[in-house]
Amino acid sequence: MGAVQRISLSLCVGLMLAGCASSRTISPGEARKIFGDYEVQSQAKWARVGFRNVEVWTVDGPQLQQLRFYSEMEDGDSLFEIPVQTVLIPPSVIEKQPKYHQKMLPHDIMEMVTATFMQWGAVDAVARRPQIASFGKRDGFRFEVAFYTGGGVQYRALVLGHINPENKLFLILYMGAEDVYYPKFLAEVENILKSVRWL
Amino acid sequence: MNPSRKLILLSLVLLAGCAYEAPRLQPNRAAPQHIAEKGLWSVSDKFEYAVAISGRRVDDSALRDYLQQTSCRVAGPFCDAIRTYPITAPDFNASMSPNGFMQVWTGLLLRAENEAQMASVIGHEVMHYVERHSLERLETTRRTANLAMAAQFGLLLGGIYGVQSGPVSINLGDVTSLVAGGYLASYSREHEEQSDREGLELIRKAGYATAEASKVWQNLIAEQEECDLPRPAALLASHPASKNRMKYLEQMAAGMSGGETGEERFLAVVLPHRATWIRAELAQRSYCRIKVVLERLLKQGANPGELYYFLGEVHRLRGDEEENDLSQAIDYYRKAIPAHGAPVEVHRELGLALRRAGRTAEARTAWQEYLRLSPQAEDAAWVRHYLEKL
Repeated sequence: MGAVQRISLSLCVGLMLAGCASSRTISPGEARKIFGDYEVQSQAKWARVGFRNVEVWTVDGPQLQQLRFYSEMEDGDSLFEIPVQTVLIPPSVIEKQPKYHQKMLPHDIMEMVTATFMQWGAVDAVARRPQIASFGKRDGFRFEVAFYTGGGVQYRALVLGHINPENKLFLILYMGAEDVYYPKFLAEVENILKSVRWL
Repeated sequence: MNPSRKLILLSLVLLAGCAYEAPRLQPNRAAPQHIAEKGLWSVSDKFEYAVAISGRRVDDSALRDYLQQTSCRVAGPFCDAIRTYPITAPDFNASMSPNGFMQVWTGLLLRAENEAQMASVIGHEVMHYVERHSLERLETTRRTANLAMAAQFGLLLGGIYGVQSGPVSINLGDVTSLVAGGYLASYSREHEEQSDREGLELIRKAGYATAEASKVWQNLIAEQEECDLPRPAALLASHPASKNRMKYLEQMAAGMSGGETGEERFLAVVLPHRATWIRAELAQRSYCRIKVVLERLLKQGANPGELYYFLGEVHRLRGDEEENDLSQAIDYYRKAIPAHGAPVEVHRELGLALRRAGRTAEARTAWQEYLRLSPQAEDAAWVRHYLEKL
């Protein structure tokens, strides 16, 4: 099973457990509050589903592209949590997932994201273009990750993050198949990243 | 003898008749003749195509050519039939498909110390191909499954539904499955041992130092024992225990002398990839295993700065306070700096570890050194930002 399939599976299992009630759409122009911490504005129509501390949006399906909003990640939190054990994802993958630690700096976050992708089956995951960036006018950082799935499909991810004074991590992660689905909504995602406003 | 033992003994006698033996392949044979083998080759061809276009195939022609040349040297007259692919996978493994398509995992290349060690695994895999072990396993499994089904049916007709062993009652289906599974595993172990022995002969003929073959297993045993890795139950294990393999390969090699290790040639091809492969292992967070491998490679001596750097990474990423990881990471980074082969990032990572340990003045010095050595680094802005915030 490939990296993106596994990540999508974790999303599907979560969706089933959460029930259909939590699955909604985002309308163009809608300002969406992310767990009451920050707000983003979208110009496109997205499907969304929310979990404990992450909200996931997609247009063409999570295997093709997904936009994940994380809020208040704390010590021990990981990027792709799966709420139940499934035979399709070995327990070792769940147990050994890289976890956030409150003393982390952007380099550590970059390693955590890259290692997470690799542990979920991505091949040759490489982080690049680390930059200082604004996360809702607060100090933030951004970087990209390129990787292949086991099947040879090239993917790209874009990450914007902020660590608040209480050392909680806020992260927006956009990923998609490089050929079509990543660039398809990249401009829209860049606008969403610029629209972040703290509540 | 109690009824359960009688039943198992009878089953084993009957199962012995299930073994299928295929004649060895001959060099330059174009296509399979056996109907089941045609099916195996067809499936393998599709699998090979999927792997060839997958992201897991290492995209480096020098490495691929090197593996292919080594395979040819080992396989001799079977050279044309073998295609060897380096595959990105962080674990010790290699495999052979019935059609001559061989995968060598990067985890194996990382762990091998020289060409002779790598060649011993290739020789083993070549013998699986030459001896047509896939076909033999397929046919034997089919016959065993048929016999197990017939035995269950016959016993059921005879009114036997299970066996009683002391206070334990075992279902008939469980007994036949266990016996058949155990038999097939033992059959598979015979194949492995045959490939080990004949593979060793191949590498001897190819001019390699045969004593290196047992070291592969010696190193794996060290990894398993130091990290307390789970091993399959002996009865159902499809491979001989590593210690057995090490012993009989050692004994065989004792009677063979000479041969080269090819260490220099091996390192020239492998070293440029080593950091990438170590990073892939680190991403799996199997810290103990990678540490054992790094410490062993350090004894070998090539690029010690790189190995000290990654030992530092093992401790920094694990970050276990009880294990005093940060302090150990800092020590390893400091050892890496003057040693040959250390990447410039060692200063950056040293700064990260020192800052996390609360040693901000030393962190500042480390990051300043990183920026001095690598002012145009892609991440220089991040590091300058850290310095401002210290």
